[in-house]
Amino acid sequence: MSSYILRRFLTAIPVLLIITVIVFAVMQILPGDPARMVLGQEATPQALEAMRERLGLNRPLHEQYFSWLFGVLQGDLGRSMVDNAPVSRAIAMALPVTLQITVMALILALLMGVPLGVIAATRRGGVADAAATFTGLSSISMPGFWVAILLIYLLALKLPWFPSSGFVRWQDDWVASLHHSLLPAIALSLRPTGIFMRLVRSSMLEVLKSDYVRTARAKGLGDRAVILGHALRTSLIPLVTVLGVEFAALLGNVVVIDTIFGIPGFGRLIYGSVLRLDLTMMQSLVLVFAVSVIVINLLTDISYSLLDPRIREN
Amino acid sequence: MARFVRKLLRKPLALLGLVIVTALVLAAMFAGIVAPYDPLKPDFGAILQAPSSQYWLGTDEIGRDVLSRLIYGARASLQAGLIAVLLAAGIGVPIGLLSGYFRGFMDDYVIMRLTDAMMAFPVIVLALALAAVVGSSLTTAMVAIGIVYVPIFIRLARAQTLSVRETEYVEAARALGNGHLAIMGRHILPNIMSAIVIQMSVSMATAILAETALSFLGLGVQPPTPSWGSMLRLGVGYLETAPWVSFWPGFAIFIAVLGINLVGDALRDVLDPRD
Repeated sequence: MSSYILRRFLTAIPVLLIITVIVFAVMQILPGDPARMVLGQEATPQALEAMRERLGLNRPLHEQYFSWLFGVLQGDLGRSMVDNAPVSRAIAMALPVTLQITVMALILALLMGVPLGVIAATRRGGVADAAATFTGLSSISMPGFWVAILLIYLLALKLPWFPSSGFVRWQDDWVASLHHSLLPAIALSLRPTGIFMRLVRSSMLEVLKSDYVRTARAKGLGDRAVILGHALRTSLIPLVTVLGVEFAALLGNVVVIDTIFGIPGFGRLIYGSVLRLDLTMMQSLVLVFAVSVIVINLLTDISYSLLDPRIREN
Repeated sequence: MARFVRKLLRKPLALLGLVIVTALVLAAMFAGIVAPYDPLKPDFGAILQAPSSQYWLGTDEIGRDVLSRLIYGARASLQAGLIAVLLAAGIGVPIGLLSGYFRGFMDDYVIMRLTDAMMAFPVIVLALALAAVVGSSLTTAMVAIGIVYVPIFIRLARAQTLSVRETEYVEAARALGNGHLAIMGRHILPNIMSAIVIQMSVSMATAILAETALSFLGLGVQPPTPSWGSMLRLGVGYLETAPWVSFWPGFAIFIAVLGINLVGDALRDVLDPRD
């Protein structure tokens, strides 16, 4: 068991290193001179030279890479090129906001997607199956930003039930915080809802064909007991594998949702840094996005191996 | 082929998807004939008109016909989806095929870890960074989405090749003295093609969603060229007074992506014999 986890950890290390190389390399091929970006167009040649010296741009590339990497490993993500504030502080402010909204979206998606998938699988070929399948496919096909705008129009402007934008932090007032994050979480949850629904449907269909389900039925158990007591547990295991992928997709979609609802999360941070050409901020955020995805995948793989012993044996 | 079409027609949802996709392609191709108005010409006498018999879906903030802009907007989205997916498959499939066929150190340690790393970048995040570097345009968006999808096709082609290369007919082809290239091109590729086509349809749907999201953020198609994402972006400002300006472009995206997904599901049913 622990040897599987150890091996899985070890494969993540080269991947993380490749990510740092990619992120570093992309920043190197950027057109334009970072020193000039910091100082502006009117900077004197002497000032530019001094800035290059300070930023370490005169050193060989591999030295620059390693000094950047060691900084990152110690939690030093550099300073914003716009306001000179440490990037790590901005990230620490945005992280809990984004986590709250994405976790809420995942919970909503599980609450919607799993029952829909079970209904579709147990009534295979019927009207309920067709309706659930169509709903699942529709929720995958809807652009999140459009749903967000519809929600704002219907539930914030026409019916003033929810705030149309802004955010309240959990520790300040958790009721208001939930109130502000519900609409964004619903907009984000549509895609994972559809994905979960389809996955649960197909894995449930598979499980319902298996011997132990037949045995349970032969024992005289009713449909309800067979499905909820026996089949559901097994059909949920594959969900764990897509949970990581879907979380990564959510992190990407947060960019649009943050912008629409004016939420001070990861999405707004990276979008703002792109608009203002704040390259250090952008570099660090892309790195943080990618590393979080790797960590999430690592965690899902490990939990999958805990749930399904066959994975460890291989 | 005839059997294929018959099988497809027996499923109403598949038929719906086919109708949607055909209508989209026709609208994009013959936009000049189908669209009732010029999509770029402002009409300051008809600003933010509600849908009526004259303007079926209303007009936008400078009096342009929303329906005509939607019809022309199909071009940007279809083009983006198609080119991104062709780019991703064009690069990814050969790499995956070679990697799965020859195996070894390159396969296990270089290609697989590299795809792991590439798959860690969310599409929009990478596209944002790319747009910042080389400037915003439809081409940037297409290339960025294409690059992000490359590892998906590498992994798929590799996994499929791994299973096909052990089959008896590949063994037989090898025994007959066929070279590596002939085996890969004539015996393996045709047999992994259906899985790749299914993936291409799935990826095209998500590529269109990604392109419209980028255009919505102002980082894809640039105005005044009509595109669904940028129409929605401008419409948000008039949400309270003229909701139709933002409703219809989003609805168009939804229907287009739904149509492609329905066709993708149908392809899976027909091409994948395992189910």
